Amino acid sequence: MLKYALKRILQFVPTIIGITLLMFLVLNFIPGNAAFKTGGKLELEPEVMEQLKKDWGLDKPLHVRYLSYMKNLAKGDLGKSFLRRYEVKDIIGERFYATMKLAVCAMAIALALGIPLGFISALKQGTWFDTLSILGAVSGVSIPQFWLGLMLMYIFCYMFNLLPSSGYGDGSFLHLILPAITLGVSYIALLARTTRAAVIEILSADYVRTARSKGISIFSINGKHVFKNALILILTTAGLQFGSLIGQTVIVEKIFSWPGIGSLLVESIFQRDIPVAQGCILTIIFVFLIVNLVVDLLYSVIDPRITYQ
Amino acid sequence: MNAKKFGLFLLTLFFGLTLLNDPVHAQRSGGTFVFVAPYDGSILTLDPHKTSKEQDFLVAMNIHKSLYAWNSDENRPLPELADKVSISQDGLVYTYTLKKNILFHNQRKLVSDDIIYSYERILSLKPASPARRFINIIQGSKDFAQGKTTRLSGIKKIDDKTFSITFNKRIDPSYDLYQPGTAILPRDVIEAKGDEFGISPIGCGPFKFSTWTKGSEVVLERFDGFYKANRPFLDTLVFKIMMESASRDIAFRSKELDATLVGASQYPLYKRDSNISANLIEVGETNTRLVCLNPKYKPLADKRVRQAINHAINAKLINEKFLKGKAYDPVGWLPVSSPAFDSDAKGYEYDPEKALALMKEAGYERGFNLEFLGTGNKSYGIPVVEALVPFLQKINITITMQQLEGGILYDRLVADDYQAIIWSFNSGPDPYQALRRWHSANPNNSGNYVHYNNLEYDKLLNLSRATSDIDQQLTYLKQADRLFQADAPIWFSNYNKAVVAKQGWVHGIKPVAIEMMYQQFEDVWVDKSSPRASK
Repeated sequence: MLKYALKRILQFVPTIIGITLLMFLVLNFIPGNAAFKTGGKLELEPEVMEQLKKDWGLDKPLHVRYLSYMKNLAKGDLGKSFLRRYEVKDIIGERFYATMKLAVCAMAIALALGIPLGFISALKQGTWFDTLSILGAVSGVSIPQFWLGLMLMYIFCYMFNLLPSSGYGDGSFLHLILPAITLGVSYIALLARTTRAAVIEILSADYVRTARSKGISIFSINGKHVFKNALILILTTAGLQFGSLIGQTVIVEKIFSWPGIGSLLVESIFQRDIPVAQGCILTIIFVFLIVNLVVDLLYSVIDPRITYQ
Repeated sequence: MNAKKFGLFLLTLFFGLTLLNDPVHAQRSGGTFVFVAPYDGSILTLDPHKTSKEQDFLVAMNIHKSLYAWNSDENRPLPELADKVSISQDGLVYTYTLKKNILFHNQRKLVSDDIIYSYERILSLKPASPARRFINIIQGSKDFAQGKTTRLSGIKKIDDKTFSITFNKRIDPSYDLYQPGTAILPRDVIEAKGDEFGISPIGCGPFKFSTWTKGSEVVLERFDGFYKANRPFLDTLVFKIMMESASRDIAFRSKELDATLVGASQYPLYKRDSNISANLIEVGETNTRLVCLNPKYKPLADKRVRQAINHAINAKLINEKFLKGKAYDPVGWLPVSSPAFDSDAKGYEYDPEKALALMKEAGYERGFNLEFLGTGNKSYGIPVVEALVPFLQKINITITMQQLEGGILYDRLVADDYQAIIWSFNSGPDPYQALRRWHSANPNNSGNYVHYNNLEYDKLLNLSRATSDIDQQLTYLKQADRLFQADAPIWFSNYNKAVVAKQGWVHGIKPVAIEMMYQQFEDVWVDKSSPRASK
């Protein structure tokens, strides 16, 4: 397994090179410039704008900038923010923990509610519980995060005054509850539907029928055979979703003033702060790759028949 | 004591006690104030020399101080760090004597060298400081910025408390040197901290930096060594970064915020709410919303067509119905809060018949197509252009629209690649600087985006510079603004009405015309009904 893991990690290198090239081209071809954004209402003088572009190295040809970026990246240097004027790795470092905290919590809520909901629905297929959970799942996927966040805020902060409406505060759990629920709801729905579909398929499998005919208890069949076999699909979905969840926190971060990477990325793109945008994209991709590697490695733990070469 | 005197004594005592109990008169120290940083994007840096973002300044200006400060009561900048300013006969040399008790937050005294260092730093920063333009008024600034001299020749230290500044020409330097980007910073701390200074700054303002949760909030604490007696009142000042107006609304109504910026969608609701409407503070900011009409597009080269556009659109109706009254009706370029605003002048009357007649006179009776570019901003973007469609249709102008992101729009503006662009431009507080934008010597890429060229207008501006009589200056500037309005190089849309809603326990929030969110919190206090008041 170690050999496989190392092989996969090596495969990250060409992936990252490809992505950096694409990212670099896209970000540098977007019209508009950070010098204009620096000025804001002040409308900088043209000579100051030119000076800024020069100071940031934007006057150099694209290929020169890309090579210099890659050279620095190989040394772990993500560059300096145009607008914040300090190291990108520090800027991302300040936000990474908050994003991970939010994403892990949202995913934990999704897993804790989505899997049991989907599992029970599959077992009680066609009943009112199943119908209700499907309805809930469809609604959960469809509810816009923006609306849900504001509704939760209105109920828990304005009406009942139970929770803080926004911000990171001192990092306490109270500040995390509403953003995590808002982010997690659509994933609850997704995981419930995936679990339900996987369990229904497994319930009609020959080995489940055989187990039943052997007189093995329903509890044992569901736990040892059905759930374990469904877990591979659930895990794959959860892994993929977790990777994308990091990049999808932006709306929740904006509504709740949560200091994460999602809003930083969007902000830096609008500000044309290319080094920060590149750093955020790389971080999100890196998390995505790592999570999927971990999921792949977990397959063999769940199902020992799976081996890695 | 006779009965009459005793009665008078009792009356005085009664009124005295009443005044003491009246929260408006009994300023109260202590407590925490929670405010918002409401604009797009996080706070980037608290080093004022390295930014020009309102989001950064509204925090930084409570940590740092500039040589001058904006005075909302007088609606102009006044000396802040100096208690004496003398001006030479020719109006070029200003000699400043610093207040004696100014301390930085590290307890070091502010001296003349700090002024010199700060201005030299602004000129020599790499990447360039956005505040450079404000220091360029000092003699020798260009040479220093280009590295031709090692010292900024226009500024001379006389002693630790006194220094003189020689300006390039006769100007009122207060409008440049009050800018938050020209704050006076401590050299020793900057040299010790380097880039870190922007993250944990030291200033000489009323509040010292405490903590900063990036992307979420900044916390400042009262600086006991502040140079103004008994200021600030507040113990703690919190700026919450809240870009979403709906989130701010809930937080304000939940009493988590002591004051908030009111957005266009909240304004009519707040006005209707009797609990909130009494606590709204409104000001006409020094921004003019307009449509640049590019004279390089043939129909717009004709003044009569541009005037027709101004007559054809009912700007008042749009401001009332579409912007829900959160705007001031346009008159000319200079906004209502400008000292040179001409209160006797009238804007373009809504007169579709006159507009049609002007179009006919110009040979465009059958109209033409006009492409509008703009951002998605609800007060000065494509949504406003949508409201113009029926008005311009009446004079046979067919509108097409393209919504663009601000940076892209700016590129199109500077490249002259547009027919009509809707935007908001800074039009103050210095009326001369605001009008100077349209001087024929000011090129397109420096702000004269409509290629305005009227020698009479230039002459009026030059005359205003030549005289030291303030009233005469204002007369010339008003005349210039009238001329500009008559030439109609733009469609005058509105002046921004900025609104802050405060809780009933908040006192001291002022209408700040330069930017409503630039509150100087040294004068703000909360009474005991605040949930965050000190016990």
